[in-house]
Amino acid sequence: MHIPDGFMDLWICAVMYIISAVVIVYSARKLKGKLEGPQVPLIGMVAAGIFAAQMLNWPIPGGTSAHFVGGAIAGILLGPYAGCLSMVSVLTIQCLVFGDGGITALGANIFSMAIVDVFVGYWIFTALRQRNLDVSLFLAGWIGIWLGATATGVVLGVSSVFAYGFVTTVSVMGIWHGALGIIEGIISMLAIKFVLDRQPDLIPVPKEVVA
Amino acid sequence: MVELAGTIKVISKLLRDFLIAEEYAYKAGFLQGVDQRIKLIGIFLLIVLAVSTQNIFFLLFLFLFSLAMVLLSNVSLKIYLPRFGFIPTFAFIIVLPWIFLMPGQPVLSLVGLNATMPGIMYVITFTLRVTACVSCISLLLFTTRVSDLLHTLRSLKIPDPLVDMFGLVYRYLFSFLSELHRMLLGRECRIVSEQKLLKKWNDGGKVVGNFLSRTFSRGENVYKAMKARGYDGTFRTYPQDYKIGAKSVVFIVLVGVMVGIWLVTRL
Repeated sequence: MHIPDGFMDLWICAVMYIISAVVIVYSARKLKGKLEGPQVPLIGMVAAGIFAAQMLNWPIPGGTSAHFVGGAIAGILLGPYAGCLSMVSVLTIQCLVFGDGGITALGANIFSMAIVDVFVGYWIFTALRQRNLDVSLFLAGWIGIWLGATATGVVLGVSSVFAYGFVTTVSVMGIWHGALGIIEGIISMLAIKFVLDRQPDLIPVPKEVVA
Repeated sequence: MVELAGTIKVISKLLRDFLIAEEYAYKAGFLQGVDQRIKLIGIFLLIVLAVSTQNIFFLLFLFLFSLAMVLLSNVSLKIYLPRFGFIPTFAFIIVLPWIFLMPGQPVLSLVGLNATMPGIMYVITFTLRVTACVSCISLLLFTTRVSDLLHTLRSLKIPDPLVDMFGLVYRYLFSFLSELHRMLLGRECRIVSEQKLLKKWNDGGKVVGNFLSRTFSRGENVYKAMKARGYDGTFRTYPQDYKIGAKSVVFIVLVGVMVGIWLVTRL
């Protein structure tokens, strides 16, 4: 899902940088005051943990394997604003230190994986967790990454330098990540359930739901 | 359980690539001697030029320019080229069908499909653009120490909390990778029979959950340790003595020449 440099028109890169910058500034303002205490080390640690966990190879039928992104997990564990900043840290370090994703495409990559994935995942979780915790966690992971990938398809489809049309890029990214996203959903569900079983105070989930 | 061999391979590749790049960043060379702020902005500008042109000659020239920078910076081409070769190959495969899909005068017929000249030019241009861009960003990876990069981001007025987080991610990533590796090996040692896929997934989910729990605990411990050492919400770093030397001036001139060529190719 990391878009390299050269796949998008310059104006789209600029627009995605502006949109992402606005959301990052808004998130930082929502955390105002908290970013001076334990929050910065905690966000940094969780970001490093998610980065490391992205290296895990998950076996899928057919002998191949997949990796997960972890945006929804970050949003649920840290809240949407801190989760967004943690994923921004991961994506920026991946771009500038490890060469994953382009520097002009960083705005678009942040938008899909640190904004759409995190916020959608968090909203789905908070909307559904009272009904069914497992389903809310699964859908948060699945739909978060699915819509994030679809956003990537949209920016690629709008770009004139990438010859494939809007319908093709959105369909390919949507269908492919709609299927792969099931893995993300299952991992999110299993991992956060495990965390909640051991540290139920970590996320303010109603007790009757946790039990 | 997650696939151990594949995971270790991925972690090893990440560490190997990083350590090799870091080794070159400490060597004496042209780009290593350029002011980090100028280098970051200059490379960003070069990539912007590549993204905003369709001129095949400019893209080829930019790629050759980046290779010249590699040689001047004492980076081995044998190490440099394979490092980013995957992305241009991936880009080439993705756009390859456009050789036949792009409307135009057929120049070649292959198994009933007509390759057109506009199609061939599009595939070459696209692949070359991605290659030039990836080659330019790799210049940054191979010639910049992470500590310098963080200083540069600070001096470019990126908000401190964000740069602090970048620093923490970088500082603790390797420690977490090592911990994850140990956890996976430990679990693998305790498994005595072949697991079914569902069981593997269930175990894998617990590993990730356990790992995230440890991450939280580590976060709290790190904060306490930082607090004990005087952390008051801001990271204090050693002052960086930015000097714009001769290498920086030469780099500015070279980037200026590339901008000039880009402008000429657009006339």
